[in-house]
Amino acid sequence: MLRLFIGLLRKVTEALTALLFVSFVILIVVQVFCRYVLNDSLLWIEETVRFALYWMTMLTIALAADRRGHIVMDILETALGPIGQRRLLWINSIFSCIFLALLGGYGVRLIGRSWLTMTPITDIPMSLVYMATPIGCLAAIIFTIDAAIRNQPADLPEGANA
Amino acid sequence: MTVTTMLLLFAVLMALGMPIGFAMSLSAATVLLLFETVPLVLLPQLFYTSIDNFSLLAIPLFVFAGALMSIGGITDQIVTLARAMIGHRRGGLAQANVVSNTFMAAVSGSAAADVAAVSSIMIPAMSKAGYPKPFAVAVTSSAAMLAPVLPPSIIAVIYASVMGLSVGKLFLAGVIPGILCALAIMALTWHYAWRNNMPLDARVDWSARWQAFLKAAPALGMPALIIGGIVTGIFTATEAGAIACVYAMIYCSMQKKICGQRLFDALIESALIAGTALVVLAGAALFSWVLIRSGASAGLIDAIMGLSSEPGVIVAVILFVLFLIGIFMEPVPALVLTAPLLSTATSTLGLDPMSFGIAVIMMLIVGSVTPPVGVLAMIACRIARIPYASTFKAIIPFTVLWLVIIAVIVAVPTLSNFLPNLLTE
Repeated sequence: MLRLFIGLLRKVTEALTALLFVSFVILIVVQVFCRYVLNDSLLWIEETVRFALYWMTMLTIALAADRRGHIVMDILETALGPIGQRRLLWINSIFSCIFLALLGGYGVRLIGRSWLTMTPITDIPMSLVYMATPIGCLAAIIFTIDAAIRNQPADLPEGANA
Repeated sequence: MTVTTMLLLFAVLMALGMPIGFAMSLSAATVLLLFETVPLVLLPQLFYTSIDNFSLLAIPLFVFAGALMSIGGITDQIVTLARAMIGHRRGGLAQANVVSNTFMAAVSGSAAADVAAVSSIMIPAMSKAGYPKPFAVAVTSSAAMLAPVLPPSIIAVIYASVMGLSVGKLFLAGVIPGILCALAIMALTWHYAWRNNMPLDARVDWSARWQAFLKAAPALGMPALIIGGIVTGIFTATEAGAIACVYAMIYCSMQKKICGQRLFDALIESALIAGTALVVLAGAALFSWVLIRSGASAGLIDAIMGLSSEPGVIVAVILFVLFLIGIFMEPVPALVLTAPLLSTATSTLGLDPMSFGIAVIMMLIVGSVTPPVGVLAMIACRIARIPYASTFKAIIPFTVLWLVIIAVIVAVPTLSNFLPNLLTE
């Protein structure tokens, strides 16, 4: 049952991430088209894609936790044997969960404080944008614990951002 | 006390292997909880504001465009073209390797992706032709360092956004230095091949070269579209990223290599590469805030600025510090951590922001080939199936060459400024 839930959460997070990604590509192309062909710049697009980027980043925090793909310094991990690596994975997972709980918890407070603040151009509640923080953190906590239980090996090659 | 505790905590968490972005934020949040009365709602607030930047959208877009081009078979086509054009010259296969990496760099923003793609084709071919494997690894990984210098570049987008520069201009600033680096690596490779009497590829006739060019032309069109679009002011760097995605999608469809699942996987992988870089940027926000608020940043900057009255010496010290940090840390976190220092140095010393920016980016990437954790060389070694330590000797000349070019770029700002100035005019 739990595995089913985590599998479903993974699928939903991936689908939302892909959807947000496709949405920026389309919206930015539409913006270029409108500016050069229709001679009319759509102001709401820039704001919307910035919000979409934030949502996508928060979702990738969760996906990277699931695959252990975050940027880390793994000198210690590579120097340890399998048992040491497993213990270290649990230590790092606990610290990561503490951080995610802080970010997500205070993220909820930020939503409470910004309930009445509207975004400048699209005029939607700012809290809808900030909501990405606790949602992403909660999913990331679940995936972090699950990855530690599964003893998930690190995924992305180091230097993927080089 | 606050800053010392935070730095110590950060060092411990980072050494343990906690995600670097998390470690920065957690150490900053901990000291604020222990020693200060600042409301921690600042943590999510700063996390959001550091990502809320239109320019940063260029990162996922260019990563995705590069991934699509790779699915479309760009590596094969570019390597075939490069071999057909210059493979018959002395050390031709190694030269073709550098040329392939240069073109790949102009399409993708990630050195790791380039080195993996080119190595898998070129290293077995070079090894079969009689090149020593450590040399093959050294050439491939050194040439892959061009990816962050030539546009599009993930690190350039982050550098421009943290320093308040135009991403488009910084992209253009990297073009001439990138080409200069490629030519210098080719010259060094030629010298090695000539001295060791390295083999030649069979000469290919002009009709075969023309065929190879025609096949690779759609792939080569992408850098032309990106640079041309930015230079003419038709679109910004971020918009160029979206247009590049559409172009890459059409390219993949033409090659009949795209299907729903591959597209979905490429989207998720690209989102992950971009997202993990952005998490470091966001994670550093509270950390930097504490450093700046405590005055520690200013103290460090004053200390470095006070080292000499000669700006050249200070620039050399800063670049040396970046070299040391880059040896142990990946370019993105290294850049984010040193951003306040770089920003103050640029304004206080009146440095040219474009040439200094390119020099910083180049310096941060050197650590990706040098020991102890040269990740690009490690990826190439994995493909070559040789131990990483066996390549150190072969890598040193390329590293020294790279450092010399950095000095030239700092000394001659026109190399970086020529193209961005065209944009201004």
